[in-house]
Amino acid sequence: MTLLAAEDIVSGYGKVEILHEVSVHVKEEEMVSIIGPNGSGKSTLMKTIFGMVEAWEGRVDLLEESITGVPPHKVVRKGICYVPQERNVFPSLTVEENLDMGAFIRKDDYSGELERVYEIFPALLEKKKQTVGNLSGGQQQMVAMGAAMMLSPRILLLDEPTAGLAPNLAKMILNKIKEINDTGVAILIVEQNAKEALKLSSRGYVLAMGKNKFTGNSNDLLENAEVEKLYLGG
Amino acid sequence: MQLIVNGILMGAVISIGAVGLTLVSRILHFFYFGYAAMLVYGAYLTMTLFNDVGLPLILAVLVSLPLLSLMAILIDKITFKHLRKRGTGPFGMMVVGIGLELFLRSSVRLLWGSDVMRYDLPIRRAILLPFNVRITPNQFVIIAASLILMLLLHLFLDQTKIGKAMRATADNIDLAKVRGINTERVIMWTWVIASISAGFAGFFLALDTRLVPIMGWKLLLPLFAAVILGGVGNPYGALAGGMIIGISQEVSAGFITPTYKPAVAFIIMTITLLIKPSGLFGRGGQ
Repeated sequence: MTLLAAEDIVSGYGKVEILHEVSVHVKEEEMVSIIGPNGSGKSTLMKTIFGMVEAWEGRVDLLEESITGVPPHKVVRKGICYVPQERNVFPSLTVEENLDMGAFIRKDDYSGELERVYEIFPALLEKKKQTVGNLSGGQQQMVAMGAAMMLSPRILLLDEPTAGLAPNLAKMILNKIKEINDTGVAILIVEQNAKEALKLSSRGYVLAMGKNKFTGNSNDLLENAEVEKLYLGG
Repeated sequence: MQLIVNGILMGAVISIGAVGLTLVSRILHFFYFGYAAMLVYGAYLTMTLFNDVGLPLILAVLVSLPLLSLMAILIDKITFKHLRKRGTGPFGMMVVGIGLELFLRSSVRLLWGSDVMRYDLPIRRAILLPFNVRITPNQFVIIAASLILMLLLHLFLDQTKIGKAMRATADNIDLAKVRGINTERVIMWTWVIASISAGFAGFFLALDTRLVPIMGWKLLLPLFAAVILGGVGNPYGALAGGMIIGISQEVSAGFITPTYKPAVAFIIMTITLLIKPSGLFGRGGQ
């Protein structure tokens, strides 16, 4: 069943149109990659889905309910969480407080989710009283993803979770993402390590110049000569 | 030694005032000059409630705070809220803030007149402490009350959900929205904290000196200096910054003409901006 459907999205900043009718679908429990060169509108697409950037045209549906134009602080209540590419933690708060903020809208007991986050990212448990600003880039990324998991979302939107990380750390983070996906959380990921991301995903979308360029199963995309040459760095 | 005690007293007033200012500056993303008027209104409202209405002094202060908060939230609703929606930049906001300060300060003159006023309290003799230090009972109350307030502020920011959300919003307002935090509500709470902070600072200052409409404006420079020294948006930095500014200002009076006291705050602020613009306890940030 389709979990998230973004249909014919047109959006941008100010008067500049970045996305020209882009469509993306994610089924339940699926992991889907969005790849494409810089400036192709990948991040803008994520922000538009999450309501941080207004959709000029088109619609976004979550479980067949429209979330078009719903502001971020309301859309999180519907089972979708987003991890921005940059500035995705509260640096002056501790690890624990960051996770608390992830669960901000919850009024019930969320110790189960907290435990699950520490299970997936054991490194965070040791540092839970530390200020996040003093952690390494990889650990900060774990905090960002952990905080997004606190609401037990149906789907996680991840914008370049490995940006600026060393290759071995990037691989570790991607594997953690797969681990999260295996627990039944659908993932829509924008990733610079396109090949690695596609290998973990079931399907992928290639964006170029703000349009859908290629769409297909990950294996087909990985074997497509043109995609390989243009977007996977041969 | 007397100068240091004076400094701690001044530092307490500045610290308490700076906490509100640093949160407002960071969460609203501009330096709010109208904060000076909040201090003045805090002091004058307390005076009316005490001198004229006849409430006990402590009660007068406590009653003035919700009034001050209400006023701040109302001002936010009719001015800054609309500007935020339109995406007005910090410069535009600051100009509106200066306008508000002028308007509010004049309204104090209109309501209470320009004369120097004071709380109707019996004048009590200063207590003589060791090292020939003199301290009035009022001053003692100010220092003790400041410490209690600092502790309460710490508990609020560290332990309560809204306090944490406030620090989170100060860190990164966009991420706060992503986390489902209603930032408009946080902004409202910020005005409440700012009112408590400004109200007490104004009251302490008036208790130690006198009430004049210009008193808030005069305290604004040391307040900004404390905020910048502590790192904008860092309430603990503001407390420490306030103490440092207060003590250096007063101690400087032992070496230079007291008229130049504000210059000391200004110099410390300038040096901070030149050497470490993120403040003593800053970590870079935006």
